[in-house]
Formats: sequence, C-alpha cells, structure tokens
Amino acid sequence: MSLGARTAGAIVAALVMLGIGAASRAPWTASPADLALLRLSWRVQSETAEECRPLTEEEKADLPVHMQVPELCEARAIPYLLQVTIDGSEAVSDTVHGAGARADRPITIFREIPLTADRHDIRITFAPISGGRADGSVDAEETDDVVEEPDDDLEETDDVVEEPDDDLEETDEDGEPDEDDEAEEPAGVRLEYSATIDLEEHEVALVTVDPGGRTLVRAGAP
Amino acid sequence: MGIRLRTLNRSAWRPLSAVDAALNRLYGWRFNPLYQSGALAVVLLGVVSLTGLYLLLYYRIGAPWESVERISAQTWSGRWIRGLHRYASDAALVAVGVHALRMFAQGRSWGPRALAWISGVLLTGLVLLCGWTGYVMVWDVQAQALAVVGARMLDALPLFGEPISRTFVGDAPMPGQFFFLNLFLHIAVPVGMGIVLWVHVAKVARPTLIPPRGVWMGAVLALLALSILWPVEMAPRADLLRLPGEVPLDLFYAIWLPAVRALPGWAALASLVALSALVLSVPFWTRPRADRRPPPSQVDDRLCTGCVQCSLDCPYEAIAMIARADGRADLLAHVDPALCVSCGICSGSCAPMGVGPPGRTGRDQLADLRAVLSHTPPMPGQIVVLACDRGCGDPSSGWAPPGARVHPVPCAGNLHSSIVEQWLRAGAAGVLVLACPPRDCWNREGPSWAGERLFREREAELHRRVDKSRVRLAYANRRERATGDAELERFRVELAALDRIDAAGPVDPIRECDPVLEAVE
Ligand code: SF4
Ligand code: SF4
Repeated sequence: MSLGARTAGAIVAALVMLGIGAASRAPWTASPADLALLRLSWRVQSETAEECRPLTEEEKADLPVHMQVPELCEARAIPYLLQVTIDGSEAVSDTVHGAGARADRPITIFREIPLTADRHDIRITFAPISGGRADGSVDAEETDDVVEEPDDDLEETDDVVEEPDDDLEETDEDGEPDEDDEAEEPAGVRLEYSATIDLEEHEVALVTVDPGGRTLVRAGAP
Repeated sequence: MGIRLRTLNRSAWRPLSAVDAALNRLYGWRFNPLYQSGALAVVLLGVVSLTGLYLLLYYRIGAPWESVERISAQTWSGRWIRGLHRYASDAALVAVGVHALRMFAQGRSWGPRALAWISGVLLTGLVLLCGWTGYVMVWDVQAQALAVVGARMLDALPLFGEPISRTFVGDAPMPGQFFFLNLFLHIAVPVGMGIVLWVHVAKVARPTLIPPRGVWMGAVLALLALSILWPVEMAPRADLLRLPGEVPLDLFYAIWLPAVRALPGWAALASLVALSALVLSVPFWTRPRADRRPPPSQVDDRLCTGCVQCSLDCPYEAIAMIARADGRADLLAHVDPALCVSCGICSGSCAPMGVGPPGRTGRDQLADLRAVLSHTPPMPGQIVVLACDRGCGDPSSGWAPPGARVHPVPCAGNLHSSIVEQWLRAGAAGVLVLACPPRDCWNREGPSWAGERLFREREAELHRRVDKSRVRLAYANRRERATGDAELERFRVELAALDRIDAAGPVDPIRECDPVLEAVE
C-alpha cells in the first residue's frame, strides 16, 4: 500500500474519531431559556359515600328470606375535582377518580403545567365532589370534557392519573387498604393552594400536600 | 412489491459498495473495517465490558454523579477508561448499524437468515437499553431527560398502580433502589446479550467473532487516543426541581430524545413499538414472492459418494450426512431445505457434481458452458474473466475490458473447478476468477473456498493437469472496475511472459546449465 494511501487512511481514521467524539456530546437545548414548570404531585385516600334506599315489596319478594333487609345500601367512591387557575385563567378543571375497578383506591395526582419564567398567580383547589358537585358549584360530569390537554411542544406535560390496577395497590393481605397509608394520606379533605410565585428560568415549582395532609404547599420553597 | 424491494435493497447497496471501494483503496480489503463491522461490534462491546468492570469498582449508587466525577478526576486511569467506555459503546453501535445495513442491502434478511436478523435486532435493542441505563447511572442532565422520558413511556402501559413519573417529582432525594435497578440492568443486559449473540450465529458455520488483529487493534487504539486527547467531561448534575437546559446529547444512543420528549408518553411508546415492528418484520417484507425464491439445493443420490465435502463447505450448516437407504455402504448428503439459502457453494464442493440448487450444479454449469463454447469459443490469446455477478460481473455495471471476455457467475464459490479447466481447454489464454472481496461475499465463504479449490487442493480441486499459472483469483467489488482492469492487465503481462517461454520451446537443462557450470569451474 502506498504512503499516500496510508496517510489518507490515517486522516480518515482521525476524522472518524473526531466525528464520534463530537456526536457523543452534541449540544442540545432541552428547554428554552424562558420556560419554567408548575408540577402538582400528591396522593390522597379516596372516600366512599354510602347511599341507602328502602327495598320495594317486589324486590323483597324476589330475595330469599335471610336476605330481605329493610334497606339496600351501595358504597360509591367520591370523585374529586382538581382546579388550577393561573393568572386568573383556568388551566385545569378535571374530575379525578380513585384507582381500581371500583375507583375506591387512592387518587394520585401528577400534573406538569409549563409556564413562562415569570411571576404567576397560582390557585389550586382539590376537593371531593359531594353529591356530584364540588363546592356546590361545578357539575362533576361536565368537567370531564374540560380537562386541559398538555401542550406537546412544551415540557413534560403529560397528565398522569392513576390507572385502575387492583394488583399493585398497597393493600393488606385481606385486601384492605394499608393502615399506614390511611394515616399518611388525607381522605375526604379539601386541599387548597393560593400564592403568587416568581419562577426563574428552568425552575420547577412543586406543589404537594403538607406532611399533615391538610393543605397544599410548595415544596422546597424559599 | 418484489421489484420495489429490490430497488430498496439496491439503493442501500449502491452507496455502501461505493464507501467499501473507497476504504478498500485506503486500507485494502483485508483491513477494511466496514467488512468487519459485525465482528468489530463484538470486540468493541468486549472493550466496553472490560472498562465497565473498572468503573464498577468506583461507582456508588448512593452518590452516582459524585462518584462518576471522582472517576473522571483520576487523570491516569479513570479519566481515559471512562472515555474509552463511552466511545467504544458509540463505535459499537455504529458497527452494528453498518452490519445491519450490509445484511439488508445484500438481501440477507429473510428465509433461513430471518432468525439471524431478528436476533440481531434484539441485540441492537439490548445494546440501546444498556446505553440508556448507563447514561441514567451518571445522573447528569442527559440522564434526567432520559429517565423522565422513560418513565412517561412506562406510565403509558397499564401496568403500574402508581405513576413511575412520580419517582422524579423532586420532593425527596432519588431513592438508591432506582440506581441499584439501573446498575443491575446495566450488568444483566450484557449477559443476556451473550445468549442472544449465540442465537444470532447459531445457524452459520464458522462465525467470525474476532476481526483481523490489524482491524480490532487499530480501532481500539484509535478510540484510546480519542479518550486521552478528548476525555468525556462531566455534564451538570441532574436536578429534578429544574428543567434540563443545555444538555450534551449522545447522538448515537439518544438522537431520538429531542423528538420523543415532545410527545405524550403513549405516542412515544407507540412510535417505539411501530419502529420495532417495522424493523423486526424486515424478513417478512423483504422476502421475494414464493415463485421467485431461489430453490434449495438438491442431492443426486446416484452421484453422491458420501465424501462429506459439501457438508463441510456449506456456510449455513444445511447439509447433514445420513445413512443410505439403497444398500450402498457410504453416507449420503442430505440438504435441509429449511436451512438452505440456495447460495450454491455446495455446487463447487462436489467432485462428482451431485449436489447444488437446481440449474446450478456442476453438471448444469458444464452443460451451459458447452452450449456457449459450441457457438462462441474463446479467441486465441483471449483471457476469460469469470466475475461474480454482484461484483464486477454485474451486467448493469457495464464492465467490458478490451481483449477479455467477461462471463458473470452467481458466486465464485459456486464455480466448479472443471469450468476453469474447460475454458483453458477450449483455448483461453488464461482464466481470471474475479470474486467479491472475501468479507463482502453475499454467501459468506464463496471467495475463500474458490481460492482453496483452485490453488490449495481443497476438494473438488482444480485438476493437477491444469497449468495453474494460467489461472488467477482476484477480488473487486462492483465499484472497483479499475481494480478489475489492473488485475487483468497484470495477468495479461504474466501470460505474455508465459507465452514467450512456451514459444522458446522446452528447456534443455544440460545446455542451459553448461555455461553456468563452466563459469563456476
Ligand atoms: S460433495 Fe457431493 S459426493 Fe460429497 S457428500 Fe456432498 S453430494 Fe455427496
Ligand atoms: S446451496 Fe448448498 S451450500 Fe448453500 S446453503 Fe444450500 S446446501 Fe448449503
């Protein structure tokens, strides 16, 4: 092989190595400079409401004698309404249900809402919808359609609501919710957060439940 | 469909053979790294494993980023070992890509080769998974982006009661179990790769897992030099309460990250599933129509003498020797049609010409040749070039060197040595067998067996009565017509010298040596 070919071979090899080096650390702006994020993350124990009605005479007649109770009661998991208002505009208004086939497992909230790095008025309410209404003002069924879709162009905005999965829930062997969880996770409470926050570029404001489980707080806030 | 696929294969093959030809000029075909890409990937993954063992000694799951930073601060060891670990992984992925492209371009992805294709895709997936876990282990800003996207994709599966994404909320330090799981996968996946590699090469005879020393040493030394001269820097530590800003992205393992990060988890997962299905189904959509598939080889029981040579030569282990049912004592060759790729190598193996794909056995080749010779025998002094039709013999390449007669053959390894003898007997001045470079053979071992049969007495060898100085074996791919011309010219010069010697008549040793002996005395 000629000296020219050898030299050219060495140069090509050096260029390939430089290419590997450069391609292994290509500069990428993962988030634009003016982007920040509001992240909501908490978990609450879902609450059930029992609804009873007297059995009709016909219904009683259809049942064996030992099952002819005076009232028929059904436990119904209470859904929650999550509302987020940013700078006066509604960003999220979403009915959320507990996980599990009967929606009676804990409710997990995990939302990420992209914001500009700036000052923002944030208001969050998370309250059980009793009798189909939260705060006595919002129709629970209607809110299903007004869930804000995440903006695909922006950051990590997936709405992640706990999917029904009986197997993976933290339960005791008898299928009852773990007592520790009951203690940690608030149930049936109305959680609120309201603040004006200054977000720096790329800052993530994390709103979660306080250790007592009574209200929403911004974690790691100065 | 078949025609469009051939176009697709060819449009991949054309640029690849052009780059092959360029690198052949620089390094020679023996050391062309593109021809060794599969074996080079294995060696590079070996380097990744060895360097990984060192990194493992210093890695701490309780302080991942800090421990990697400490490794990078070891000027005399960790710094370049980490660089070599990274760059060898990148180069291995490039080698895997080139290998897959060659198999696709050469149509070596369907039929009995489908298992090798599918296991190769699985291997590539495992390499990517290993790279993913390796990057997450560093826990820098790229790791954060990879981990968050991975969690979103997992959350799209209806498997987890608690969203995996909540692991990356940022309200508490990352749990050690997360890094332990990554470390476990980063070590366990390569073990799985070993098993899949075994499956990958299970159906080929004599798999090449180590390239020539010059190739692998050259590659490793070049990567080592890169790691020393351009060590891998630390990117900023991951911070879950900040969005990653400027990220140094490894394009080899994470080129998809910017696009996928903008998608919802289900869309990212669906894209991954669709892409995997597309690549895994290549054997299905690249196979020719049933009536166009080359038929498997067949054995003529009456001619087979049980010499076992075809079963030794078959590159796909498709031939087994079985007991005969006709009472003869010798064994009988038996072709398994499910394993035979119809490469035709066995046609050149069999001295009695008793095996080969229909229409391409030694006997068929002889019959075709006789038909050709009956109306166009070679002109006196003419050189006959038997060229692989995937190389310079490709009719579309338009190669027509003056003063020579080019006959395309399906593969140099198909060629029965009697054909070479017959051309010489018919009056050809010489026969140049122009094969594809050995590591570029579509049938794996054609050029190697051709050389052994023509010059090293491998069964069915070129008969001793043939003057082997009038036979030449050379290598050129379809873009190397200049190489074909040069080989032909060199051969022509040698044949001319032989002709002058022949014209001078037989040598009288006494008369030739006398003046010398007198001078000595
Ligand atoms: S090479 Fe021919 S003779 Fe020998 S085993 Fe094969 S088919 Fe039989
Ligand atoms: S054609 Fe012959 S050598 Fe090729 S795979 Fe089939 S049996 Fe083996």
